[in-house]
Amino acid sequence: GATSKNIQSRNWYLHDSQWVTFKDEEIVSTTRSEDAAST
Amino acid sequence: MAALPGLADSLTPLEDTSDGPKSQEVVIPANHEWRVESPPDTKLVIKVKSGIAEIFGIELALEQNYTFQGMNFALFAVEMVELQYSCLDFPKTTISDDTNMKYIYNLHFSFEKMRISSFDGPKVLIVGDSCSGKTSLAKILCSYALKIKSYQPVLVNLNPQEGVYSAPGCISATPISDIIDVTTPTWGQSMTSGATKLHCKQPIVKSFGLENISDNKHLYKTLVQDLGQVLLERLQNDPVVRRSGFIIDTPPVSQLLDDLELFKLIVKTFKVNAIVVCATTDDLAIKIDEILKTQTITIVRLPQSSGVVAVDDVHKRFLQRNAIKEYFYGDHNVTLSPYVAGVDFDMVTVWQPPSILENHESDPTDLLPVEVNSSNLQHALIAITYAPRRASKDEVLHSPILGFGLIMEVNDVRKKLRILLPVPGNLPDKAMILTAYRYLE
Ligand SMILES: Nc1ncnc2c1ncn2[C@@H]1O[C@H](COP(=O)(O)OP(=O)(O)OP(=O)(O)O)[C@@H](O)[C@H]1O
Ligand SMILES: [Mg+2]
Repeated sequence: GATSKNIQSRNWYLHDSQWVTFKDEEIVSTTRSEDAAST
Repeated sequence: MAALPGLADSLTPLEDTSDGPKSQEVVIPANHEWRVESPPDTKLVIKVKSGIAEIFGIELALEQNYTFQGMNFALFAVEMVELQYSCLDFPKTTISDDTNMKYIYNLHFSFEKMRISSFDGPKVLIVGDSCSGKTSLAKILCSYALKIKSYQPVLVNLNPQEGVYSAPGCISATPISDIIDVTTPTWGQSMTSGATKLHCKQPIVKSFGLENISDNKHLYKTLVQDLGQVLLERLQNDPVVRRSGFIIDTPPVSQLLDDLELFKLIVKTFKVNAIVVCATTDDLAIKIDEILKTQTITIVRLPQSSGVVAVDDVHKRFLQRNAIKEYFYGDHNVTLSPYVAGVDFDMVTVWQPPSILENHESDPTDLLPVEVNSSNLQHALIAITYAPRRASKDEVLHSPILGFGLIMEVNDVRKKLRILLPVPGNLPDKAMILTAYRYLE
């Protein structure tokens, strides 16, 4: 696929206080956006 | 940046091998499973030509290559499946209709009823002997819940010897809002800096650091409580996660039951309302029923699949190394670029949880300072906490975890070390906790 040339690395884990209010919808993945585009 | 020798080796795609693997075909009748048992270094590529095939409950796409390395698994044919596979070695493959998938489906269905009838989803604890299929069941139950799009089941991993969305040596909880990567033993990846092909997950991690629970039960209990508290808070903030419930995977039951307090603590901390026992007989389920007899918790036994493989320590080590490698370098789907930082000895503070087995006298919750030198730290995996570098050890003990670092080189003469970080930038000015895990060739 059209993988970007950007250098990618892992993120630090969230602090407990951020994690308890984190919403998984904020996560982006290319499969997700493809799904969204095709529907 | 130069990779550790051999570290990136297995990321080379199979296609690159000179004398190309021969492709074979197999037809799997409906309701049968195709079992693969493969040694650590064996790479296998499969492609479904027709039919409905599931691995750990996840349906495979047609005409798409899936690459596995050193993984045992069963491919279940919901409908007759025509499969193509290629492999340089000879993994052991068998076809069997002796599967426990229909029991697992029934289990899933009863959890589904709980989700529909209440705001609170099932809080499931899976127990069983070593290599009884606990982790596989956890994966399948999460996958099945995911099939209904609006659910986000949380996978809680209480087995510090396994790395699930993280390095080994920790316990964790991960809401799963999109597909599980069936091709990696770590279930897929934790969050990265950019959009990736496969959906990333956001785990919460508590670093235990030691290998066996028995090395420091007290510390383990403390972390279980810390993790449970954060998870229940998340549930309160997140109605979708709350309704989806969670699945708790555990270490071999012998490690839990030699201390009944620990077992009861897990049940209480996570407000467990269903226990699934993976076993060939009813004995363990009866025992657990007696331990918890005053409580109203559903206890069911899942007949153990005859496909479950008794994985040896060598294979477990391989999986642990693999999890560490994936954390820093990614996998065959996503290549990550970690970063090497150089630091002076006096810029690092490292603590270590005491192993009670080795040192009976020590206070189990009293972190021990680790002298910075090559014999203590060379090749060590360390957890970097959120606690400031000079924080008290008690603060460090309960601190959230930023992530892991890998000590690559320690120069005792120049008093400098080089540390591999998953995120570019300087070494965070935070206290660190040494783990029992080393990564070297
Ligand atoms: N039906 C099956 N067919 C083939 N392999 C299987 C099947 N079920 C499980 N396995 C494999 O058997 C091994 C042991 O299973 P699993 O890891 O689920 O057990 P466990 O109880 O979690 O083990 P541990 O006590 O080490 O955590 C794994 O390699 C798994 O992939
Ligand atoms: Mg397991």
